[in-house]
Amino acid sequence: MLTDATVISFIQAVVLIAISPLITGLIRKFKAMMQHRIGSSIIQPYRDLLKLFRKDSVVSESTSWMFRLIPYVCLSSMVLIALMIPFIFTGIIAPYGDLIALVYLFTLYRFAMVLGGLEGGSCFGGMGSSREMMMSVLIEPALLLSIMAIAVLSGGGTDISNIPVMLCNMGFTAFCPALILAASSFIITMLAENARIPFDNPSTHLELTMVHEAMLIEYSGKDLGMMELSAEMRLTIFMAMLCSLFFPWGIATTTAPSSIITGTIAVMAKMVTIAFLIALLESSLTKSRLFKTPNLLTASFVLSLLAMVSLYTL
Amino acid sequence: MVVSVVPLKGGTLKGIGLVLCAFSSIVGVLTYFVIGDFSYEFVIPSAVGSYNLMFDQFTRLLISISSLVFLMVVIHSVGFEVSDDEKYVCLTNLLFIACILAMSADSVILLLVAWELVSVTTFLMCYGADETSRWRYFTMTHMGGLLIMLVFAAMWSISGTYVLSEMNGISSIAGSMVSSVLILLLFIGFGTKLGILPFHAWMPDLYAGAPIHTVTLLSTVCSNVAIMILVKGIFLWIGVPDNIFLIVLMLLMSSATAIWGAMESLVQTEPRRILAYSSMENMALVVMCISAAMLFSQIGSESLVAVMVVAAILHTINHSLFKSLMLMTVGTVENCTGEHAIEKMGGLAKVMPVISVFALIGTLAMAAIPPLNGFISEWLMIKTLVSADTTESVLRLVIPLVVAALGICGMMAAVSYARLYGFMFLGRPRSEAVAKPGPVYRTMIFPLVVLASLCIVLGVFAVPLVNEITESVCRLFGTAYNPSANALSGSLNPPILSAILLVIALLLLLFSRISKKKMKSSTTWDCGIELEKQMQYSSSGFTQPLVHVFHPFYGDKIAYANDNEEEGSYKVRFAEPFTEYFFRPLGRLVYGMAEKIGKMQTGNIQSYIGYILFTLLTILLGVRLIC
Repeated sequence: MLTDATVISFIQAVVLIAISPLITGLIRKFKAMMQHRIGSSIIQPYRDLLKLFRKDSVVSESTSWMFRLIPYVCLSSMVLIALMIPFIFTGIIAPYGDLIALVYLFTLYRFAMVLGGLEGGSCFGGMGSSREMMMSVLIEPALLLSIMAIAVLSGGGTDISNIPVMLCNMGFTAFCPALILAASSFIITMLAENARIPFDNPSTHLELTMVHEAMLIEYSGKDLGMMELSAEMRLTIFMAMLCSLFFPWGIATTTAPSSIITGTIAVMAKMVTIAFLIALLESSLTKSRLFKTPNLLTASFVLSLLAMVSLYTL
Repeated sequence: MVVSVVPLKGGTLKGIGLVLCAFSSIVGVLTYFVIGDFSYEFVIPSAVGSYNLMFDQFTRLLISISSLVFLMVVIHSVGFEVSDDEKYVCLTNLLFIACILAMSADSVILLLVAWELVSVTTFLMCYGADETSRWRYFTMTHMGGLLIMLVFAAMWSISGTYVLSEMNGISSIAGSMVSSVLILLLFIGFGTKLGILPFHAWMPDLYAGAPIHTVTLLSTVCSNVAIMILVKGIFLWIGVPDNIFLIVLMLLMSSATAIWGAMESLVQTEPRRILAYSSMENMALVVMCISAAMLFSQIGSESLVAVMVVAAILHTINHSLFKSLMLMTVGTVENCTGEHAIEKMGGLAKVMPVISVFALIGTLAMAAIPPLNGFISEWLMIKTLVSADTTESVLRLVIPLVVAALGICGMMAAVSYARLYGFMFLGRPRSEAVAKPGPVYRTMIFPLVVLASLCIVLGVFAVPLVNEITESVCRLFGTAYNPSANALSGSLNPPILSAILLVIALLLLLFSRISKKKMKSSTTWDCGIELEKQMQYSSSGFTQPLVHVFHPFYGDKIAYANDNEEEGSYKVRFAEPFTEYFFRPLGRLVYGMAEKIGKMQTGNIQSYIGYILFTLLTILLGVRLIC
């Protein structure tokens, strides 16, 4: 029953989950290097998480029964998505949902987090939730459309594991306007979804940004650790999606050892590149005003729509 | 606090009426499972022949679901007080009969009479709503009824038969132009009931004022009736005409309605109004599916037509489950607290934890969150749209736009539902009444349990339901039904997906229980200032950034002096642009004209005889000239 493919796809999911704090550490390190700082070690996020998991937690009296469940909902939805994403190898361990289901699982995560922000009945949580929802109205359709564009482009339907294979087989013909448009839209979506500059500043608390971090204000200890871990996983999952759905070249399509080794090296190189690019963007841009962000988000939406339209008309 | 003894308010007559209604709706629920296809003929000697009833599989499926909602509404209404209880229960019974007759009617006359009965009974059941909104509903729904009558009269005269099941695609006789007009009129006619732009103007005010059970029936059962007749009318009786313009127009109207409904629901200040716009949005999605199915039949992909109609019917069924759940939850909350405004609620999850669980399930289902039932139907819609293999040039542009519209309105609606749940149940109470709600009766909880568990079951185990719908739709269309080719097969496996999600969550829970950490309870972080009840985010503030981004689409703010509350308080509400800038001027125009014409009314009999003579002469002359 246990075939090579199952084992490898299980391992890749574990790797994807395991490296997500590392990716965050890597981006921080790159940023520090660009700003001529030494910066913290790239394994600092692991230490932070470990510390948080060891701490007691304080829960607000105003919260309801749901508040304590939210970290579990968020983290398990991210783990589920991690099981559904091809990363090193095109096979996946849980092929029970497709790309549309994937987008809706992200909505589950966001919905839970937003309700969590409203739980405490403070102004901070409400403000974070409110702003997150404003952005998500523009992010979500763009995400859906850019992913659909890739599905239509590859011709493999909405099955996640089909898309890298089909794109790899297409070779250079896959480099059409639709891919470029969809990928650029997806990159903007990735930054917005993961609360990066210019949408939100991941390295501040409260004062300036008030989107993602503000929603987490009432969490502490273990609960906060789980929310932080799921946020780090979300970033890694988005980067993995960019690697394996939009630029899958190099991904292992067979279980042969050589293919797996190539796949691992290729995907790690791609992840490091993306991390470097995110750090570069964050060091060279400023966080924009809240009501400036819809401009960029609308651009992302239009790009994804154009990707879709260009597929059907060109 | 849950109280098991329910005081039956009202007399024995009410009790008898409720039992009768419950009994007939149980029979209705069983129709799908017990009886096979059958048709019944009322032999009533009349000028237009007999009145036939036809219960095919498709009809029985929708009758069952609608009866289930009916049953739950009846049970829920036991502990409620409405003025004129006996009459209300009597009207509920009448509405049930009217809905069943309208769904199963096989004769044109019977269908029209039953549909009219649905409109009149719902109008009469709207006690409490202010006169303007009641009459607005009455006028609009009758304008729709008039169009429907016109369509059916035309169908009768074209096909030469009054039996609906004998009309097999009259578009082949009538030609493309005539049948397009018929379908458009039918669409607008039922659209007034479903709330298609701009005929939704009656919805928010009526939903806000009418008894909650009327609203529930109006939003679910009556919509089911309308959708069913619309599907049968378009695909079976009239047939899809060869007119791309009509289809694009219908797609455009329904997408505009869906987005409009989602957008307006963001600024509403009462849960009922939010749900009114949500009803409009969901029905628009269903109509969008129907239009997309017409599009597919146009380009000749017959297999997708059935799947798209299945998606439409699935969403109709899911909508009637989660919307009745939500409306009745809101009704329970309003009954227990006496508050109607969302700005006065908050923190209810602490004082009404049971109700909050059902409300959360309903909210998640409405927002199409996996693995609940709303997600399955939206998934099916998007999946089918994307899998369309088009070669026609116009359609290639249409599909991405429809997917985009679906995405935008889906997410906006999700924001609106997060706001609905978040500001009703989370945070801290914003008024005294909400902090200490009255008792909840068992009879109010039982329907919520049933509907909430159906929302979960039909989400996780959607495949059998989809199979049933597919079979009935295939039989309706007379196409071959292939049980192995399920619309859900292959790419989505809801039971396993949700099982994995559950297992992961349980593992995490187990893992976190191993390392026992202390959990301390404290106040919300308050920056050192003691928080008062108003010092939290308000629901209007919550969506203010979105309103800021989409401001050109919202109307002006209207401020009301609020005289029945404390001094100096006033309400602010966004004007519904269609009511404010279209219907009001229209109404003023009509009044103005009526006043001018009114000058003719002198009260003098001689002049009236003169008018009659003049009219007769003109008509006779006109007829003479034309013939």
